[in-house]
Amino acid sequence: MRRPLVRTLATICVTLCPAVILSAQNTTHLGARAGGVAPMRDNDSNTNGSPLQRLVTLDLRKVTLDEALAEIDRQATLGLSYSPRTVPVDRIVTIRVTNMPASQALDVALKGTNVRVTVGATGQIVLVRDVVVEDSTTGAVEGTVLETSTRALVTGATVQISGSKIAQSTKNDGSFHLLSVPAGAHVVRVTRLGYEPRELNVFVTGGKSAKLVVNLTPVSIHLNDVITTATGSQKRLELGNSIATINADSVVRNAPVKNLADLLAARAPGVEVLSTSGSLGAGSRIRVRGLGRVSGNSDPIVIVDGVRMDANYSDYAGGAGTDTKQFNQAAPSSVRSAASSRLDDIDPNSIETIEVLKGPSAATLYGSDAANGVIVIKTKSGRAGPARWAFTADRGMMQMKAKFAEQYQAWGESPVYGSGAACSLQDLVSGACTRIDSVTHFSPLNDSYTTPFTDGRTTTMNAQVSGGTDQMLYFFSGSGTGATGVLTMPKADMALLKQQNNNSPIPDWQMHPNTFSKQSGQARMTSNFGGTGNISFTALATHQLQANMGDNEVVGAALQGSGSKGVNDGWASGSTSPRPATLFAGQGTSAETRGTVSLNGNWTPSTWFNGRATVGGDYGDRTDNYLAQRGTIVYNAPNTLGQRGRVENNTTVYSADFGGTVTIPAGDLWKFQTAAGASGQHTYNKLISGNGSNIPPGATTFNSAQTTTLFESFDQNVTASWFIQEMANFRDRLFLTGALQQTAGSSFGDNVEAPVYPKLSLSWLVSQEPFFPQFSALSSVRFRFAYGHAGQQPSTTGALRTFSAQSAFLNGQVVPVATLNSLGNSLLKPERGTEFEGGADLSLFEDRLTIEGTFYRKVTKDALVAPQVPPSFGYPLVLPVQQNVGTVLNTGVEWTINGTPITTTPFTWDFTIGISGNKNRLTKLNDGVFLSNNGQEAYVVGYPLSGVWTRPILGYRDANGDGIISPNEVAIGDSIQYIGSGVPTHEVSWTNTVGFWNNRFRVTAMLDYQGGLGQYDQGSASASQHSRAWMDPSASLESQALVQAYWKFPNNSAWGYDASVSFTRLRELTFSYDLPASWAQKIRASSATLLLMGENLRLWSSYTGADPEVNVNPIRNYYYDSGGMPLTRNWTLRLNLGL
Amino acid sequence: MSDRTMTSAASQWSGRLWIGRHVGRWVAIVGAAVALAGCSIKDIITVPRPSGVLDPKQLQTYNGAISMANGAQGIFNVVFGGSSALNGSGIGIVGPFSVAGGVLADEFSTWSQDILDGRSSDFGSPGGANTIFSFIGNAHMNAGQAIRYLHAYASNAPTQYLANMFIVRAYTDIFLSELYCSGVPVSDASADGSVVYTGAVSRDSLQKLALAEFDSALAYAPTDSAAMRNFIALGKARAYMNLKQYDQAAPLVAAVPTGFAYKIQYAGSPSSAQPWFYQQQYVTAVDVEGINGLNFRSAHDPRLSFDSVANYNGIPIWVPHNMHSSTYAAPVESGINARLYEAEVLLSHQDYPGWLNKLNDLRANGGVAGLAPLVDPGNDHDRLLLTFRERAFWLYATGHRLGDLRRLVRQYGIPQNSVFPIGAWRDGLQFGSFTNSVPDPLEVKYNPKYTGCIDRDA
Repeated sequence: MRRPLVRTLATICVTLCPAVILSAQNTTHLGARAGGVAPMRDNDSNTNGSPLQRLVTLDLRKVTLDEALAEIDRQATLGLSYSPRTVPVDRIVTIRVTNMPASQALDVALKGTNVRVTVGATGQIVLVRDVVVEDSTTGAVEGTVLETSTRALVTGATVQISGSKIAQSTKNDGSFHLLSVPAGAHVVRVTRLGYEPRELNVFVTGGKSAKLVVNLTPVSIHLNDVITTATGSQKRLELGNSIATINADSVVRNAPVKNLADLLAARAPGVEVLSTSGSLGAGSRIRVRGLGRVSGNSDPIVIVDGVRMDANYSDYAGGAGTDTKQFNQAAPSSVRSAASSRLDDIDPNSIETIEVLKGPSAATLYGSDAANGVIVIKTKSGRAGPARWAFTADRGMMQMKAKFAEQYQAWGESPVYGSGAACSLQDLVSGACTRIDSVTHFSPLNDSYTTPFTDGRTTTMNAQVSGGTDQMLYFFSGSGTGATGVLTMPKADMALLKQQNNNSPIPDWQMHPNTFSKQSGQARMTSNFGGTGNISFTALATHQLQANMGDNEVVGAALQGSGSKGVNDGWASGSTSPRPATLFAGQGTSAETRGTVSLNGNWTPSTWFNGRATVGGDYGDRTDNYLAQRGTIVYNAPNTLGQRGRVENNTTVYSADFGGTVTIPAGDLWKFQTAAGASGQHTYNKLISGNGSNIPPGATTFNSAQTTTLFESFDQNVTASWFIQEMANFRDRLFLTGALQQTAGSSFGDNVEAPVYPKLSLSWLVSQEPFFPQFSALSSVRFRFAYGHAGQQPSTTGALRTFSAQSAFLNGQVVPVATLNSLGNSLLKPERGTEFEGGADLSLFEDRLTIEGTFYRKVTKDALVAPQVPPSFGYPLVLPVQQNVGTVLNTGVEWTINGTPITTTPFTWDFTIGISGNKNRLTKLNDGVFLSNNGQEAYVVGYPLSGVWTRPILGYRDANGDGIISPNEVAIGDSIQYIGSGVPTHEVSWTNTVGFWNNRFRVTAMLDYQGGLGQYDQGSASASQHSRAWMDPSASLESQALVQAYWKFPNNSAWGYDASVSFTRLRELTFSYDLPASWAQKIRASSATLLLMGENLRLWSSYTGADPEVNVNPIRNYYYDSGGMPLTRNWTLRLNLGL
Repeated sequence: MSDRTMTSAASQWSGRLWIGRHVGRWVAIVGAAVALAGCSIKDIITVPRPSGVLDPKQLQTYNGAISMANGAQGIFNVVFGGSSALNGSGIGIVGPFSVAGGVLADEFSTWSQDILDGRSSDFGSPGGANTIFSFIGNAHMNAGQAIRYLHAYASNAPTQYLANMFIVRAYTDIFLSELYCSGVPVSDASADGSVVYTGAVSRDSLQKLALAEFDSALAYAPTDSAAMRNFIALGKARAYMNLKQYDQAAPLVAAVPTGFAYKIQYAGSPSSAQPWFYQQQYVTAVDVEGINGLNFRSAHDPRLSFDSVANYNGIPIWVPHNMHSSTYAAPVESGINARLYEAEVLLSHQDYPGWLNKLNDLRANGGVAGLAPLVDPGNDHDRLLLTFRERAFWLYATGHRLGDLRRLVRQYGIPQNSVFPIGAWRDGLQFGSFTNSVPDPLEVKYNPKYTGCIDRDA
């Protein structure tokens, strides 16, 4: 009786309990689960109502196992049967349990004995040891599954005896052990998601174990990437979306990357990174798949290690959303600097990967804030082993290489001033000048004595160390950057200042008004719990200080110059375009401190369940300071009297995210995965600003200011969401996913239900289908489709009817006052983005060539628009009310082509081409809603959002034949005409890397082309009265007409300065050389690489301004060049050391 | 049954149970989470209102209603002569009402081309006049809101609050009629706070609206508040004068003492509580502007003196001496104007001795020493111009000049080109042909009931 019973149980365990391994030598097995009791629980459905469910209470100290079993038997009346040969009855145990089922109490008692509880067919409860009686009719198959190229252990692969139900998944060490395999020849089939299936012949000898080592070849390395999703980690193959992944660790080490924008630029099709200025610390504007929002922030959201990072510009304006506040808020508008980007608070050295979820179909589970896309950042973590150090040292140089237009001045005879008078062509027309004798031209930006540009310097150091054991891993990184930008006090202005200040030395902050320093640190500790879970704690901290007064004004001021070096050193003499000595006279700094912490837990107690939890916080504090001492600035009265300003913004975001995934196999073909979770975020924004003016000479504080003002605001925002997702996996080649997400937010109107966002996606690895024709060149083909919704929150206070509380001086006393501030909208709801995307991934020539093509169609409904209240109601004292009134359509294509054509020892070549095109349209605007036409910007149904428009010049004619075009000789159309899109409509990036001498020496070049951008060259337009066309009688009539149209009064046109712009930029060129190991060892390094990296080395464009890429505003969609600082050309020498 | 068969069957049966149990368990967990989320999600996401913006419920109290009334009054003070004041928003380069009309007339000039647009263009932007238009509208709307709150939540409050709110609404109606074209929108807030759009309200209709508001104010004005009643009487008289109903005006102001003045006092600190003239740097008092302008500076009249306080591009900025103080009290109306109205009414009845006596009596007893008596110029035209010159000097920078010039043109038929500045302005530009500004062009865009001025006549 005993033998069949034991055998039956063993067989059951082989089938249902893959953790149980049967020894081929018929010796006692070592179960993977403690004491071998867990499988019994799996199988204890037949114990329901059995004595094993009876509760027992034990308090046994240092008794024999025999005594313990007897006591359990006594309390539960089990009728327990066991043999002293099977059970180590003399073993001393201590058991303390209360009201525990007898089965579990037995588990406790038998722990570590390899003895298990079984229930016989007759209900008899027997204790057995996991043994297999020698059986000549069956054997076992055991072995390990490895990845072909990397030799990495493959876990989770299904190993099955073909034609039977004998199967098992490989464990964490890649091993498998199939039991009770009938003796004879068999075919073992090994399958794993993302790998080509393998079938091997094996012969099983009865009573023995056949050993196998199975090599699996990845279907496509690309498709095997693990993507961090809202439900946890998933294989790219399982997802129906195109998700751009940037391996930041690799990029940062080998490319001139200073910040997150550099990491993203031209590395992910559909992700446009638009620089705002060449100034140090200037931020960038990031748009994913075009513009989806009519108003409000169009930036994607940022998740760092599961924690929401606040990169919302408007939060740093105290929730006001006023973009001008993004500049140094404490400074007067005339000297405000380029805006920094909160995204750049993250140190690129800390990032392992960046994944960009480009639209609602991919970002559904991120809910009501994700319609603009999601940037998911995963920071670096430790790897087991001894401490591994890595050092990077950079030394860089920045140069201003842009070509600046010269200013012109005509000189002639004036009835009033006589000869040598400053004239213009229009002076000739009006009679203010009777003749022009000569024309001079000059630009202070191009002359070594007057230019405010010099070579800038930057130094960056980074050190990283990682290591640990299997139980505890660590990673630490620290970086420091110090830089002095290209702005400097011109020699001419130095002389002027010394003359004015009795040869007093010029302070360094005034000599170099654009400086930048940054210190960053990261710490990550990961603790693993026996392979069933881990907890990671990550802390990121950054402090940066930037000073950049007047950097966005100096070029524009120069464009208004005198046209002659002899007149005011070529600068304007008026007060509205001050020269550098004035622009740099105030001291302004912006300091940013940010800390982000996250605590992540993962728990995988079994193969079918994974739980995860993340809690964390993100804190950002920005303090702007400005001081202009009395008398230091002459062009602006408040500054002449002295001005002090300080603005403190801080934003705190708390995040919590919990979820779990259950994986349920259903037969051999299907596997179902259910994921569910909930998350919440709480954001606090605070702003305090102070301003003091009329400060006594030498004083620097608010205390001494004659008049002071204070402002404070505080707001907060909460979102709570949950989701559920179901994924069906058919034979690891077809994945169908459906999900629902619901988000409630405090910014929604009181009468709005929390929106529900659905998602559906399909990923089909069609090349694995039997019917798919096999081509040797074709490695894999995948089709994917995705459909999903996501939202975009209204502003924090958009739904609220608010009153402003202040005080006022009335009738001789200060009294509290209240005035209507905003009408509010109780029906305000999030914008809803609906996106369909489809595409295909091809892998050719064993992954040497991969092609990924995607088409998308994104519709944003309920677009949030804030139509102004009429001025007669009190705008701007009463704020516009946000309404859901528009619809925006974005369609586009994205292509990513990766190739590795040559991989020979002496020479390698690989390339990446990214192509994207976007068509953006405002398709609907509710009746009665009008959007502002901000000069050159207009929102017109049927055209791109925030397009550039202007009235056309219909013609010009020199009617009086004087050779000069006057304003009345230019005909301008009545209606505005579309010029170009608010953002580039297409982009092509091409990165090539060639390697020589076993890839020891590498050259990488990145070319970036962007086109379709409507650009308004406002800097040149406003300075056109200093242009040749305004001054020189020999200037063409056409150029005169363009200028005169701009200055025609009333109803002018900037036709000559609006254009659809395209440009190509050699963004990066890197030479890297791996130093010989012997050289590295001399400095005790295991590896050393020397790199020479160039940025922005060449620009090809027909644009009339200095740089088609820069604009002054990183927030709004409108894109214009007001004469901001062009991008600098940078060269950096870097040494990477590995220890 | 063989062992193998039994194994397979057990496997399938156990598998189904296993799946069923775990799916059921998971569904239960998710269901509970969803139920929990559904029950309490509203509580989770409820956050306090942002600081600095009051909950309407907080204003539905006695003190809240009083604060609302104070708010409307505060904005009115800014409208008339204040600085950057409430909400930290500047009043604009053209200045508050007391200055803006003077820029369009002959009292002040600015370097902004915008203001010239308002004069010379019938479709261009009136530039700096936009902001003052918004402030006037905002004061009018907030006063209406305050009246509702006072009735609802502060019925036992002193009635002077209600009277003040009606006064604010009435005077803002008059300001709109005098500074802008005929056909100005006067939007308001409904009881629920939403916008009540209005179309173009004619100049005369605005006077009638103001008269009705003044009557309401009179009903609530305390009987012992002579100052408030005088202020109302002067306002009504101003409306009647604008309507050319002179005989209605004179009796109203007869009881107003010459020494009376309704002044807006500014605290002087912080900058938001300073008169606009103390801070501004871009508007200067002018002299004989555009040929027809009066010689305000060069007349060296004892009623006016000017300080050169700064310069703009080398051009000096002149400010009336008494106004360049952080605590300057700006007179909105005064008993002097009462006498001037009476003189004008006497002139309209051709009571020349009475008219001259009235003007000279004011010269003698108006509080300014050194004014010689006037002599009758001998003809109605010159008498009229003399009357308005007296008004111009007595009421300098109090927001009356533009209305007066427009009345000269509209009611007395004086050619516009003989009283408004004409000819060259500066930089080769000419003074325009319009006597008034137009509402902010955004009004046409955002007010579905407004399509523009009825006319640009004086």
